[in-house]
Amino acid sequence: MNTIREDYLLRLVDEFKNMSDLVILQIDLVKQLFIDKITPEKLEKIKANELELDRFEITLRSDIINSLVLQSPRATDLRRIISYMDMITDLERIGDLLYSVSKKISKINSEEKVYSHLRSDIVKLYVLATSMVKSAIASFIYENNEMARKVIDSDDEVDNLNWAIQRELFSLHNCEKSTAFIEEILSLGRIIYNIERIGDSSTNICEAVIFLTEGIDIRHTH
Amino acid sequence: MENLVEDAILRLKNVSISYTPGKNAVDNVTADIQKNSITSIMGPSGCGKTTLLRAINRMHELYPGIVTSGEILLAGKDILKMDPTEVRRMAGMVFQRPNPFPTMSIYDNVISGYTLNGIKKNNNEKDEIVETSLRNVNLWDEVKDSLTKKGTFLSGGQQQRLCIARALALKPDILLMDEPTSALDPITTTYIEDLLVELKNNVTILIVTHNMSQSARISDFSMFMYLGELVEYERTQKMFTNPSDKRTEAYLTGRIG
Amino acid sequence: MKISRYRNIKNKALYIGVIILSGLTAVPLIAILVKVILKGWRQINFDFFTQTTPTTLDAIYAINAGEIIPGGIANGIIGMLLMVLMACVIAIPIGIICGIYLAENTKSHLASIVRFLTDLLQGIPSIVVGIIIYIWVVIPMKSYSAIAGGVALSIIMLPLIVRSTEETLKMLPTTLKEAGLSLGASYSSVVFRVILPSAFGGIFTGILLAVSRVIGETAPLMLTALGSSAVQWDVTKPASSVSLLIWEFYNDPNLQNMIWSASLFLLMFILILNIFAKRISNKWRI
Repeated sequence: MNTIREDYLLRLVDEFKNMSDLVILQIDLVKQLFIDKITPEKLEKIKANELELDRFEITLRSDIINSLVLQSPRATDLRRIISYMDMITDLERIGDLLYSVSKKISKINSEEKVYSHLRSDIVKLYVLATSMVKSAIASFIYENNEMARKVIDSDDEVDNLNWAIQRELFSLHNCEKSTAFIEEILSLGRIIYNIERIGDSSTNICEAVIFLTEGIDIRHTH
Repeated sequence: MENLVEDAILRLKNVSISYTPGKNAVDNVTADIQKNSITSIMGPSGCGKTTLLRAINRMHELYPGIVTSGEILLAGKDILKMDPTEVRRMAGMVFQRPNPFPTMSIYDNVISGYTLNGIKKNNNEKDEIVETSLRNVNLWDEVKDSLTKKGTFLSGGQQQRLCIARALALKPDILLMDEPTSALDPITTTYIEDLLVELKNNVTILIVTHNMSQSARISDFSMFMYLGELVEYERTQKMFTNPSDKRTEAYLTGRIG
Repeated sequence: MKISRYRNIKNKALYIGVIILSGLTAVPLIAILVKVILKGWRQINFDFFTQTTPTTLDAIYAINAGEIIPGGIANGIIGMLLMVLMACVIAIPIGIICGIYLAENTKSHLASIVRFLTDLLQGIPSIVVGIIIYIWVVIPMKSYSAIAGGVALSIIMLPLIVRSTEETLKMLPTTLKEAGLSLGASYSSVVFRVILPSAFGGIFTGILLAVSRVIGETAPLMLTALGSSAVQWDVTKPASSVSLLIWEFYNDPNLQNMIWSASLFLLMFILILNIFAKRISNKWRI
């Protein structure tokens, strides 16, 4: 028989899992946009999921406030609640970034020179960053601080690939001078930036996991 | 734990207390209590916290057959070797239920520490002691016109503050409090908690409490006891967010006790 | 509902039954009071309290003349007060200290023995007490005396005082003693300055009730104080008491009327004492 407090926390874990599952689904859907044909149905689905994620953030936050008020959590329970608060914000931000990537990609012509030149690199970056998200979520579900630290370290790899693609992108700026060309370059720059930010948000999630499991706050220390 | 406390007013060294031979109610407790701080002792029922508290002013000896070992140094003096009545003047105690002397007026209650001990003071000195003590507990303005009235006419919160004033009148080195607000309503409790935070600048406070939230609110240091053992002794903020011992964790999250 | 109606009837029947039975127990008391008042009030005047007992001759003259019997029971009143006072002086300090001892040591072996002996003492018939005091006090003193009477009464009072002191002290919250001790006071200081003042009401009531009990004792006084027809201030000589006088009036066919007035006096005295005791205990309730 669980106590009221344990039931409450279990419910929070369940809702968090639902939200994180949705984010993972969204990651795969957006990846489709890079690889396959972009259809309006796919875009609709992505948009609907994004609204759902926003709603999740609101309900979960109110649940967290309730549990602070009603349960007076202490020690690990307290750290868990605080970690939730951080992670939900980060998950919601990842959702926003995915949505904005999807919108920008849908506007790019897949035949365009720059895009077709850089596509495989961009997909590589995307896969790297989003696998960080999946690992970060797993490290939380299993409360595994080793996994969390590994994810934080792999952020360097994402950063390096990000810089490489950006250098490549800006080296191409002299090819043409049309507005459409410049727009494409800027858009691609934005997309790459957002993907890199997805990686950053994953490290934030991992920092919250470290706080939960080890009780120390390692933000801004690496 | 050695560096936890810099200026210790009370030192407990390997203190063990047992009511029946072979079973320790308090088991080998070693700790230093910081001067002018509020230290709380928490733990489930029967963990030995009240026994330990009462040992510090030798009140535990009211139970026949109790055996104490180890050292308790209060302001440098070994209180287990001293005359109990002298120890009790160094360590004042406030109990769970307010217990002003019912046959004495408020004035006499406050000064009772001196009169019961046969310490003579002239009227001016007595007036000063009474006024200072009552001011220290924020009771002076409320009762200054009814000092000759009996103490039992006050409300519960006022009675408890009177008891605190009575204990403080003897200018003890440490104030021992045994769940002082558990018989009072929440607003009165808050009032007294604020008072204790003020008082700690003048006297060290050691408080036994069942109420974890109270411990979190007012204490600088917290001790967690379980089955007679001192499981963890730490700054309150750290203990409540990141306890080192699993038993402390279990107690704080409501899984034991 | 049939069941609840049955229960209601049962309730009412019991209620009425209890009232009737309580009334029945009051009947003897009221009957006695009425009889005593009716027959005794005529003898009560100022002389009653200030004059000594009349002789048989005085009584015969008065009855023939149709007047009330002259004289009074002053010797009985004074003797009674003196002996009760002596009994108090002996029994109160011993009784209170015993009571304190028993209240503080509930589990000790010696305390249980003392408690048992106290209960035994309470059960000793008062005439047996009289005989014992006759042997212990009257014979060595070679005279009946008020002192002997006082000692006998003190033995009867003692267990009552011990028990009521013990019970009162037990009812005091232990935090009272703890508060006193925690201020560094010695045990005796706490007992005399905190505990006893707080228990004063209950102890005083116990004493008053013990007094009202021994006022009416006759048998032990017959063997120790013997009686006296004059007001006797010398306590080494025989003394009188109102209860003894009632016995003497009973034995004299001419002084029958005095029985009722003396009895009325005793009853009123005890009644007032009890009312006083109740008022005090209410006022001092903690």
